[in-house]
Amino acid sequence: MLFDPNQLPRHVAIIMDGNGRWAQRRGLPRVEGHRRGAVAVRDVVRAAREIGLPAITLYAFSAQNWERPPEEIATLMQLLRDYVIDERAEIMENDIRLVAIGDLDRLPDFVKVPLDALMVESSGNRAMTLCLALSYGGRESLVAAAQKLAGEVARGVLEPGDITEQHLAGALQTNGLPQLDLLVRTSGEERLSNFLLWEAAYAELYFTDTYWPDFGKAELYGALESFRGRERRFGRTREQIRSAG
Amino acid sequence: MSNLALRVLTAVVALPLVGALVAWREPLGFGVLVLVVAALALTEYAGLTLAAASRRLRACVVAVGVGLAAALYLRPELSLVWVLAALVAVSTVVLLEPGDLPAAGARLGLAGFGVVYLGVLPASLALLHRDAAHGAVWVCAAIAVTFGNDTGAYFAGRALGRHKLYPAISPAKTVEGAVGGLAAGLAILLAGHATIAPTMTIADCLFIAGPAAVLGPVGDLVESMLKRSVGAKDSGKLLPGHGGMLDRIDALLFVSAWVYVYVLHLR
Repeated sequence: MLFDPNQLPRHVAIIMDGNGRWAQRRGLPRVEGHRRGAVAVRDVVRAAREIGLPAITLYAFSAQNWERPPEEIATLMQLLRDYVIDERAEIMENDIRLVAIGDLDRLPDFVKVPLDALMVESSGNRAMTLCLALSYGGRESLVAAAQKLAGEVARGVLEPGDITEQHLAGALQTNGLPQLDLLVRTSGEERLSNFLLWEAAYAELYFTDTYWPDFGKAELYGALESFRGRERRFGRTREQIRSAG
Repeated sequence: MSNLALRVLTAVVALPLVGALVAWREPLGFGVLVLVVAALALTEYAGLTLAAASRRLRACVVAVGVGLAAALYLRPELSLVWVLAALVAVSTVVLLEPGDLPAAGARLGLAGFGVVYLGVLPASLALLHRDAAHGAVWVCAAIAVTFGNDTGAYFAGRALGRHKLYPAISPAKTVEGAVGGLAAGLAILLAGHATIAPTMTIADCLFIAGPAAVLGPVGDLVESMLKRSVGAKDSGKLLPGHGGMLDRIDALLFVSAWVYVYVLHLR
């Protein structure tokens, strides 16, 4: 299946949900679901790069996930470290720029150090941007942006009445990423769960019952196919499209 | 053709097929292979141990064993239910075919053991393949460590063997051979770790190779004990040069049970 680059979303974000339930359905410990989820991440990033998606953001760890049992957090952090270390070569070879959003200072050093290093190393790559949302919360990021703007107001650089959408967008960590076109959530839940609240304003939403560990290239294609069908009518009437086509 | 040539030829035909199915991204391929192997092994088992029983009972043991393996593969979260159902079903069938009464207890034991032995253990390999992260790597590790054990034990035993391990069941096995098997199994896994399978850590190699060096020979001895109890040398002649299917997979079955538990539940 080939996709016309003009019909591809510029930026896809994925809420990778269902690792725990995938494992429970098989009578396995939750950590096995996370391990399989990490394999799915590799497959999906590879597929996204092959298709030519300009940017993909993965909700890997939310600000609220710190409430999970310590051993589950430990496994997730270990998997994150493994991912950053194991995928380094592939990220560099495939010209992928790695960025991260969220409260990265809360990450343990054994994750943060290799992550920071790879982000610096890959900062000149251009083919695709891979954005990991780590210790991320949409509200938290809006609060941080508000604080930043308030700081500018306090310093007298900005008047409160002059604050525009562009100012706020520019103060968010996602500044620099293309506009979010498609938001995918796996495993049947239909919530945003504090993910990219601002950025998702005009995003198409795509929900699938597939658990994240079972989400691969074919499922990503399914989401893009669905997006393509919707995008054709985007903002216009059926008649307008027919007369234009 | 010599036995060794036949053995090698069979391996040359069978190994690429197994390898291709292990490597295939669609796990159902390997799952079906495991089911077919379980069916063949169950048929051999029933023919071997329940030769005096009715054909219907033997067919039933095969069917329940395969059904158990398939059910475990499709809905592993209900594993306890499947094992209970299989044991009750097979016991009921034995009860309905009383036959020679003094031997009925033995038939009950052999039929029940058979469905668990060749229904549950093969399923563990298929589940490992499908459910573990990098399942193909772990299946290869189970096969490779078993092969390493077997080969290492053969050569170490021939070169250095002095002390018999378990002469009543398997006169050729020696303690020296078992140690050589451990070393060779570990060496193969470490080689895999250093080359094609970095996801398998050195600790993983140790945790797999150690128990495998015990469980592989145990699986082998259990199968020998079954054969000896009925006076057979090979479990069948399905695989030219290798004997029967059961002869080929006896050690692997016990090893794969451990690798499944280790990788998916303990690691």
